[in-house]
Amino acid sequence: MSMFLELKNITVHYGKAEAVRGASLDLAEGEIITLIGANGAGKSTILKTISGVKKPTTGEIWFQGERIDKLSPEKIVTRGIAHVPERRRIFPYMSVQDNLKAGAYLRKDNQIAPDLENVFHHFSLLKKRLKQMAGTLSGGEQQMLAMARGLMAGPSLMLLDEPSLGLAPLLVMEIANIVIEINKQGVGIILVEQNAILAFRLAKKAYVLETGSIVLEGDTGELLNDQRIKEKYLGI
Amino acid sequence: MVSLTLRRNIGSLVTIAVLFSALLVMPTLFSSYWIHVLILMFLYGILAVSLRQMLILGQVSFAHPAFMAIGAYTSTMSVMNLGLPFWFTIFLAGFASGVIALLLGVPVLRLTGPYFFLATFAFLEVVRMIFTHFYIPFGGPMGIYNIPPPNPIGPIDFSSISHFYYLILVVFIITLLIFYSLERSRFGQSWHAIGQSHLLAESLGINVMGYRVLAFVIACFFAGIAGACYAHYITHMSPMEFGLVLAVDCIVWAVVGGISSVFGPVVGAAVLTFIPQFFKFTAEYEAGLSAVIFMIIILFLRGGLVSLPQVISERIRKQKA
Amino acid sequence: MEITFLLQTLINGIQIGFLYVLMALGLTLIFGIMHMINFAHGQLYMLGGFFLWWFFAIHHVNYVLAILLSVIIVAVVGLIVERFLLRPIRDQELYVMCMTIALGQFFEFAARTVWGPLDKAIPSVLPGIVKFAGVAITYKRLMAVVVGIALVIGLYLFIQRTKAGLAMRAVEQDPEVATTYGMGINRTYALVFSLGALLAAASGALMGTIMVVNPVMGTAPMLKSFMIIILGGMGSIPGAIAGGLIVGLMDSFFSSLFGIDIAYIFVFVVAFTFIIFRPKGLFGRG
Repeated sequence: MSMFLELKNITVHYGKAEAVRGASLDLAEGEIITLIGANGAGKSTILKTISGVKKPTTGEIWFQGERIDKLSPEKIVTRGIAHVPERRRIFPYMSVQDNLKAGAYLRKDNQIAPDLENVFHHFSLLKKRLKQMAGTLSGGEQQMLAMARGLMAGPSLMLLDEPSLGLAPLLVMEIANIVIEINKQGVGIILVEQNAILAFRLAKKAYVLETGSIVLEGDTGELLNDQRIKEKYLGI
Repeated sequence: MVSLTLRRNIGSLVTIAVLFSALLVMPTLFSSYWIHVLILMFLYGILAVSLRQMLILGQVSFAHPAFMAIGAYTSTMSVMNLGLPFWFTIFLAGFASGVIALLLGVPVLRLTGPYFFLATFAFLEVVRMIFTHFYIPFGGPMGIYNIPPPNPIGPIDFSSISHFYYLILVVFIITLLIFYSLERSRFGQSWHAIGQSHLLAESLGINVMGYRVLAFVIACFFAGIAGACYAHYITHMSPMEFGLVLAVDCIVWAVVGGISSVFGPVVGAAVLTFIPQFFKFTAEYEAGLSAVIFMIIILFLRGGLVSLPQVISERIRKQKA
Repeated sequence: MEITFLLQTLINGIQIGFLYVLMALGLTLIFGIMHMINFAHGQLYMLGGFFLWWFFAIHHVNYVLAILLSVIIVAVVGLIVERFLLRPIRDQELYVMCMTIALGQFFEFAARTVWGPLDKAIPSVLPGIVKFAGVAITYKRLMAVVVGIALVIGLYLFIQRTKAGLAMRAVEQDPEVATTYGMGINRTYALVFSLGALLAAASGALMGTIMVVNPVMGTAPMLKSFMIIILGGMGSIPGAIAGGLIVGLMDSFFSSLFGIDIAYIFVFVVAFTFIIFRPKGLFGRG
């Protein structure tokens, strides 16, 4: 059975340095999976490889029956994969509205307006700040904008890179709920997180990365009881 | 393995010896016209090699002709107005350029990339305008005429062009030797490190600003010396000659020749000074030709002409494999 | 008497200023988005002037059409240059700069060879002078100001209201993220460079209409434009506009009061001071 998204033995280099080695993972349609690991373990690199910004040295990436690892980022977005980068990286000197427009840049369908309404439903505060310069938003607001921008691309799969980073716990909860809502609408999600507790709450399946390799994978319910996970990532 | 290195060293030594001997006997073989071309080539070579010192650091200086001008005017005015001998004023010229480079460099070398470049550009224009505008000390746009040749040493009275030839040849060789030894010294290593990544160099404890200023002062010192030689050889000079065109030329010589080696800029200056001579009948096409050569080198031979042997041998190796 | 002198100098300054603005805008866009200094900018300006002369003076094409053709041709030249000469070496700052230097030399050489080194006058387009409050401005210069303003407004609308403009802004602010949302660097760079060329050509065509065209006419304005974008802030559009007008006014006032040489030096001294103490310029964004 072909999975929604499948990474087969991905190895990625930055110049001569190996960032990811032999990573394989898969995702079923509408599923939430998570990649956890320490800083520099290679989680962001894997997301960048999926979205096409980095090309894998070896290995294959398959999405909905099509091989995408050799495609340009522009093409990958049109296939339905949106990347919400680490540290938000909204366009600081553009208005909230323009940031959202940027998300929908490649779309030629007529679903953009309803999608915008959907976005406002999830992120009501953005509607009030449409004309505000994105750089003046708070960290939490920027995170929401980054996710909203991703949603505007009309994706069937969203790559979320450390959405909780630097946010107060209340905001993290809010974002977690929004992630669940988005997923309920049928969007698959790959969640990269250092905050393993959050990640395990949201995802069904987890992959644990250490220095570029996947060392553990499994159902989050079971992994919660794993001694190693408890010590290393849950601080228990 | 040892014999290979030895062979290469001997090979280089032989080449250098041959070249040197050839250069020594040039005046006897060729007419004054060609000797003149060679003299210019040496002067341009000095400019190009000294500029390379900044290019290695990743800082493109457009101010080189300004420092040449400072050296030229310093020496000229010291000789003509103060009666000092050339053999002193040539060093005075270098010194003046060096000091002004220090004053300019400290605030400006903090800047990187385009900002540094444009600052040196602004400096070039300001200096040129100062020399152009003020008739009283500098002779204004017409410049200075009847610059006396260097004072005689024994039989060498600079009445014939070959005397100038040998003088400038000596200056040229000394310059090359100095830059060559700098390149292989600890300074050279640090400069290259900074050029690769000044942030990394800094984290390694290298005093980036200090090395930048040092390189700049040295480079401009030699530009000043070249300026002094130029002035007393050509015997007249005007501010126009030390402007945009020369600034561009210096960069072209260095890049076309190749900045990876100390000899690259010399090769570049030589090629770009000589080739147009052979196309004398198409003198008007000189500018276009050098522009096209420049573009071709940038696109296809990034390392410059000096890298040509290496590129060719790699191609051959790839063919064989 | 005093006031008329002031007003006249002011008007002249604004008019010159707008032509500088057009050129500086192109330069600042190219620097801000492509992170390169376009050393051929002055020659693109010159080519704009020459093509106008060629179409209008030699081939008697309608003036408006001639200007349109000229700027479009130069824009296309920009497109070709970016695609084949700049894209292959895009990652290396030093060589990109060298390439545009070489290009500038080549364009100047080409113009000199094809059209000769002498000044070419563009036949009178809008003869006549308009006078008010004791100051005079020729219709030609007035037209230049009007066209200049129109182009600036047009550029603003383009950047703020169109998708292509959105892509330009996105690529400027975060090229990697822009790429992941489909705003590709290749297409944006091509657009930016040809847009810059277009603006330079427009400036050259207008200047040519007012004065003359010759192969070396591009160098001085280009140097001034570099200083303008330093003053205004490299990469900043409001900076280019403010800087261009300020320098235009400085030019006008200093030329009248102290002569052209001093005026010239002054621009460079000001720019130099800015570089050292405030490299961001007036409006630059760190």
